[in-house]
Amino acid sequence: MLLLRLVLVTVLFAIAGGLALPARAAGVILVLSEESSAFSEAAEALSAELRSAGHRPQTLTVPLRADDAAALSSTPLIVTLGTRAAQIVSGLAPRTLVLHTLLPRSAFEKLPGKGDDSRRTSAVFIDQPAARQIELLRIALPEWSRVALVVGRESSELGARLQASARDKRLRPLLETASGESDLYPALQRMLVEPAVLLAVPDAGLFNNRTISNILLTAYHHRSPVIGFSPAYVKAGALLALYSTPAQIGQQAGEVARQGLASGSLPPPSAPRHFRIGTNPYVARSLGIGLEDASVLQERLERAEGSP
Amino acid sequence: MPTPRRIHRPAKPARATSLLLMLLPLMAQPHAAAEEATHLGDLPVVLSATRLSQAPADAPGAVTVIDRAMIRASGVRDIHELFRLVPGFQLGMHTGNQPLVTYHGLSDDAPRRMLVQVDGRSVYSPYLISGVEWNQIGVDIDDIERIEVFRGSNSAAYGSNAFLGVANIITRSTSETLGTAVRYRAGDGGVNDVGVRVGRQLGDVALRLRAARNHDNGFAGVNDWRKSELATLNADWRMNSDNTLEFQAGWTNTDSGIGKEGNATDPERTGRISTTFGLLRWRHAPAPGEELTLTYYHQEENGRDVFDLVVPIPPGTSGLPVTLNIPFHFNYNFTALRDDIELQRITSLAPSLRAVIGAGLRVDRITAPIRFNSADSVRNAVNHAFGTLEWRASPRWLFNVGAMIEDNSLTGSSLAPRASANYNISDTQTWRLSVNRSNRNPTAFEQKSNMIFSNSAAFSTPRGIIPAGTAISQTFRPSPGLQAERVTTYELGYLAHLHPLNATLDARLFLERARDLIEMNLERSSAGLIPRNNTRYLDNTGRADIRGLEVAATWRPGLNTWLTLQHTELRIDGPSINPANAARRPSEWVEYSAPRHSSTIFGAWEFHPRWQLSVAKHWIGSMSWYQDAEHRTGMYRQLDVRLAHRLPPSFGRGEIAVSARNIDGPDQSYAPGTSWWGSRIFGSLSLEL
Repeated sequence: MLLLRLVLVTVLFAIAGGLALPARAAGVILVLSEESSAFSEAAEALSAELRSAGHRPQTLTVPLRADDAAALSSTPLIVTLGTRAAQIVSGLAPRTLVLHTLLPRSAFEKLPGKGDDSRRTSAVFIDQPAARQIELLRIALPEWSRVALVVGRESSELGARLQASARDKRLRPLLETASGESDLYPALQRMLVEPAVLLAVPDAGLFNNRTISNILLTAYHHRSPVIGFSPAYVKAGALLALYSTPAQIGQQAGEVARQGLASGSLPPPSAPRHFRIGTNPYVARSLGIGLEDASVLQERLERAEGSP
Repeated sequence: MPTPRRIHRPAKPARATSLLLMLLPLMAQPHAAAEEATHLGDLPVVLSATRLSQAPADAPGAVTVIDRAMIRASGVRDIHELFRLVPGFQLGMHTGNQPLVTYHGLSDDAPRRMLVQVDGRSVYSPYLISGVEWNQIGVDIDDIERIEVFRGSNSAAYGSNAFLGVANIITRSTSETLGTAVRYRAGDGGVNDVGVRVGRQLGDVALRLRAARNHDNGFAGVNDWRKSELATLNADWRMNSDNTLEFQAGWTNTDSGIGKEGNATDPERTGRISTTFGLLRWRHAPAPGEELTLTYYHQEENGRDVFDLVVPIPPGTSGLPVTLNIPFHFNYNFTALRDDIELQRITSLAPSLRAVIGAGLRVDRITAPIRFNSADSVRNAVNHAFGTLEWRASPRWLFNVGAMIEDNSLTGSSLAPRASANYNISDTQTWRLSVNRSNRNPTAFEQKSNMIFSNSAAFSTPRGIIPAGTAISQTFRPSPGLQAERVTTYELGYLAHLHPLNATLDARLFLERARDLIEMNLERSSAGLIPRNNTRYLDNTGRADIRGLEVAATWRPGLNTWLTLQHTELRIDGPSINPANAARRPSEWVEYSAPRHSSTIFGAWEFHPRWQLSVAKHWIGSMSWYQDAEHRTGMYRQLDVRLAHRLPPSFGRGEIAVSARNIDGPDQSYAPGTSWWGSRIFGSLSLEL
């Protein structure tokens, strides 16, 4: 009796899902901008997610060879990781579904032909939505209402979004535009005359390896905490950072890819759903800021967003 | 992941345009690729554990921080003047070029119980009588980021010499001083200062070059002019995200007027001291709160002061019927070398447990023939090991224990322990209870000075010719049995930080029991041809119980606007000694060695976005610099005012200011009948090019 039931369940399961798999299993091609650990981490999470649905992911790294182009044209879905891979694949104007990931929203918006068929092209961005950043600021630093933003030409739209989100939450955003590094410090000096939370924006022209030292020191001397967008910020001396790990982004991209393969069209571009928060308790203490543990902040932010 | 480097040097416009057009598509690629790199790349550790200042509520003692904005607004030209702004400190001017700074008194005209460090380099001079040569510390005031002043004793963290007061001078990061800046100051009293700073970023190396010269005529009627020249180089090489190599080098030369008109053995003349140093520090900071540093520095100081003089010895001194005219060749030259190496690790043993451990060794070699009556150099080696444990037992309680063990080649080994408990009654208020034992080892001079003056040429007396090289008089004799001084401090601190009001209150109630204090005693000596009854030697005869209260209240709504009120109440009790001994022992004088009451108001007001007015007013009670009651200064007041205007951007980045120092009349801050500290007005212009 038991054996019969087991066989029946197996057959039913096979009909419902298992048997259907080979019919829909597809060879997905991942195109990586480079072979660094972050890209590998994202690609692994993505591949694992695809493999769990029976798909066969194959990985290519730019620069692409001639025969790679042929493979790309015959695959039902291409996933690009990084801006460079996204640019190259977009340049080939493939007729398949294309999902771009591990790239900032601004880079996605500049891709050629991405608006041709919005259901065939989508993205999972690397950067955090403005509303989430502002919500974190409100949760972690409830006594701080002044939010300082320095943006460049590349990040002016992001600046506007952050400014609007901050206003929505009844904060007082201060926005300055700097055309280059030389404008950055005078702008910071002006904004931080009274302490404010400096929200770093991912604009490589302003916030980079070269300028970070000065930014963090200037803010620190003005008793102003900095919120960064990568774990490196916390290590360098930012009070906290909000970011998504490559694995989190990769997994989400895998889920979107599965959905695309199943339905034949892709959902609209989205920000990363899962995120991490890093805190630097030493900086907090030095600035006299009472800061909750990163895990507590994360839980509260997740709850605020209604996500698991 | 390496971030592709971008070219930032502007090319010449004409040729560049066509070149740029050709390169544009090529350059677009790497730039675009770098976009996610800002999210994924590494960054150098900027605010490492040692660069972060400790939150006052976490500190194991009372700390006053003087930051750059305060230094600028104070209008001071010299670092020592800033200690007027710290509760519990006394500042006196023996002459215009001989500042005296001490914490809680107990100081003669050569203060030596306070420690000063510049970026971890001790500038406590071990060789002469004075602890800190303020003109020689090798840092320009404009290059200082902040000065953290530990009010109290702290040998557990800083070793012996951190006896009463520790000042840590932290210089600005080289990455913050890129570009070129010039400074010019001129005013009355011969004030004429120039300074230039050049900062450059060369790949991963950021460096700062500073050259400065300060000049003034000193006080009226005293030979105390000064010309100080300084050149320093700071270079920071960010090897990778975890490792930094710091290099500092400096040279300071001060020519100054010394001696007094009409003084038989100390005539007016010019002295010179020059100092050079080099420091190398490797810093490994793999994670927040984790740091390993290895520091080595070498320092060399040379003093030049040579003169010939015929000294008349009156009959009363020599016991002969005639005045003797004895020729002397005074050679006060000295050389002091210091090598110091230290390894320090800061680490988190658990989320609530943090440790600082370290060890190091220091060797001083001092050659000063006239002071030690020997051409050989005196060597002093100190090995030390220290450890501090900070335990955040709960959000309310923080405990801090630490100790330093030192082995000194002149005085043997010593242990300096410390313990403190900080209790946060709320997020804004903290009580602190601390107890510590600190030591001060005698300087080589205190222990080994042996100043015997001999005639440089033969001279005749009624009893015959005295050949050259005869010992005539001994002013200091060695003090071989000298032990380290010790002080036990009990302290109750209260701190309030009222964020919404931008206000802080810092109070320190203390009892400092200083024992075995080294004092200059007098005795008869017949070591020379002419016997003296006032030959000096040093002995652990002193004792003082220092009680008091320091309070500082600060309201600071903005970086450039604040008001701070400070008050210090001090009572120093010394031993009672019988009148017969009082003439030879200065033990009782400790009572007057600091004012009973002193107060300061220091405020700055940015009354317009580009204008700042700052005012400091001090009330200083009567005190003496380890002298008898007759030599007490009267109570005096000082008023400093400064008006500064930040230049409009169209003109360039910079500031023009007028400082009026001590404008409410001259004061005698050393002793009655000596120099008068007069007023001085000067203007300054700083420009960033």
